[in-house]
Amino acid sequence: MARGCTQCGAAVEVPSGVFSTSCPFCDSPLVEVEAAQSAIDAVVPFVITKAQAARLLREHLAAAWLAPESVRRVARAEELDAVLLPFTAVDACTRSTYSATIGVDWYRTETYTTTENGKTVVRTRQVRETEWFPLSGEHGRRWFDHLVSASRGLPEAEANALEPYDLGRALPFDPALTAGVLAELPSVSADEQRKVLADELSQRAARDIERSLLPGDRSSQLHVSTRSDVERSRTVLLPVWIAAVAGPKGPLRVLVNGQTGEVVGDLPRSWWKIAALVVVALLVGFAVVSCVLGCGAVMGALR
Amino acid sequence: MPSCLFCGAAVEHLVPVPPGEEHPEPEGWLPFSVDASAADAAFRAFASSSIWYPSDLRKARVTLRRVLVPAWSWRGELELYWAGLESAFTRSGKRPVAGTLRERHEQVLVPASSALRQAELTALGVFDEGAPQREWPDDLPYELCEASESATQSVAQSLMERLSAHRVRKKHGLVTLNTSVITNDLRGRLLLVPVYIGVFQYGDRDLRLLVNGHTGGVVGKAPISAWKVAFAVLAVAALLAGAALALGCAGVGGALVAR
Repeated sequence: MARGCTQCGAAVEVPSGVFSTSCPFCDSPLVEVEAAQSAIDAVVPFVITKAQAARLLREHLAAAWLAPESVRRVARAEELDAVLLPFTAVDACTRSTYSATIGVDWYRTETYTTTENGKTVVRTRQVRETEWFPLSGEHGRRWFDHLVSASRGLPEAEANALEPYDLGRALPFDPALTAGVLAELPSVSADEQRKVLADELSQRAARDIERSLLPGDRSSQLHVSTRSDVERSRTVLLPVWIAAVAGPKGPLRVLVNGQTGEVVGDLPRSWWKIAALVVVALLVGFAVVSCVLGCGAVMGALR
Repeated sequence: MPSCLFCGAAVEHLVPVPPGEEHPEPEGWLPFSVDASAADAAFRAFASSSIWYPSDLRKARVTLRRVLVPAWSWRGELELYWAGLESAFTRSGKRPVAGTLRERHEQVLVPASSALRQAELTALGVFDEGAPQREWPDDLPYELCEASESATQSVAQSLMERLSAHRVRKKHGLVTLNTSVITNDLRGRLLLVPVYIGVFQYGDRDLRLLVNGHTGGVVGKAPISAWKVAFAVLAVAALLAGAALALGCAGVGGALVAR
């Protein structure tokens, strides 16, 4: 969609769904205020600067030593773009019913015979046993600021990896907060977001039941049915640095959380490095086995 | 030289509150209904409440001073989802149980300044919130509020959860208990509550004492008399020795009779 720059008058191509960008000719910020005001409630400003994000990205890539060298050497600051991506932040209440089998340990004293100094002796030992009981019950919890990606360009799994964000730092939407930064309008439908939200809250409730509620020493066959009620929902723009890194099979996308500096991105692995690692492991294993066998043979000869 | 109302320490320098610092405004203050003599009588009764307290504690001179202390008073409904293990005739001696408790909590107090610790305020018990005064008292010292509503909300929630969990544990005789909660209709009001604060010296220690300005309930850690404890230990030892001697004598007597 072409828009006229209010400063230099140039026709600027604005990608669909983007409401804030800058003019490529005069660098003036361009913000579609009306579209944004009706869709965005709050903005979390950038805390991590471009230079910091580039340093974090370099460190992340340097630490990924199984990645191809061509990937590890890139990440200059110029390759990073600041983007404000739309998320839906939800306060919700989940109420679940569950059934599970609960294991409670008990110890049985077992008598056994063994040989000590050439003599047969009787000893006892404690053997762990588990008895299982069925249990059903309810669970309830309130979740605050659960985030769901509202951007088509950011899949939910990648968005989850970027979290957490401190939404206590969010400021009410003001066009000035997005000026000069690429900012997107929500592009995922409300229905799709509701479905993702329900799935994620069900998973969180099930994890909470398993980790924090079920009694006993172990559990199995957990079945959970969850109903979630949304109490508050708002659209928040969250700061992300996006780097396009040249990979062996095309460009790779690596993201940096603009508030915490968390770096997220699936990096390819170098098959040469993995093969070298396997060869080294085999050589070390071979050397250890040879040493053990050699020592055994020497000991046998000495006896 | 003035002394601190809360700990009795001598105050050499009074530091003014920095101008412009934000302090939440209390909704009102609760007037004292226990007068100074009743508070003093409550202290005397407290001093005599245990045989282990030193006798001179009853005669100790304690100046109780009236102070209005800021506290957030929270109320709300709690849904407590619980699961735990109860004692049973099973191999392990335990059996899992689960349940739900819904109850309303009133006046869960959270201190809004460093003058009172949470345990002290909880131990002071309830205050009558019926008639908070709006006009600022001239003759009563008060503490400034330091804690915000949101900061104390999570404390109140966990206090409610702990109270309800305690009830469930007691009612079902649980060995272990896990909980998850939902709080509804949670409301907090910031009030200045009436408390008498006294400091008394016992030996080389300054001990603090609090009296609820509405109920006369006393909270304080009284000293234990070392003499009384030593005397009790000696008395028990003497009794045991006497019993052993008597048993020994009976044994010797029995043996002689048998011969």
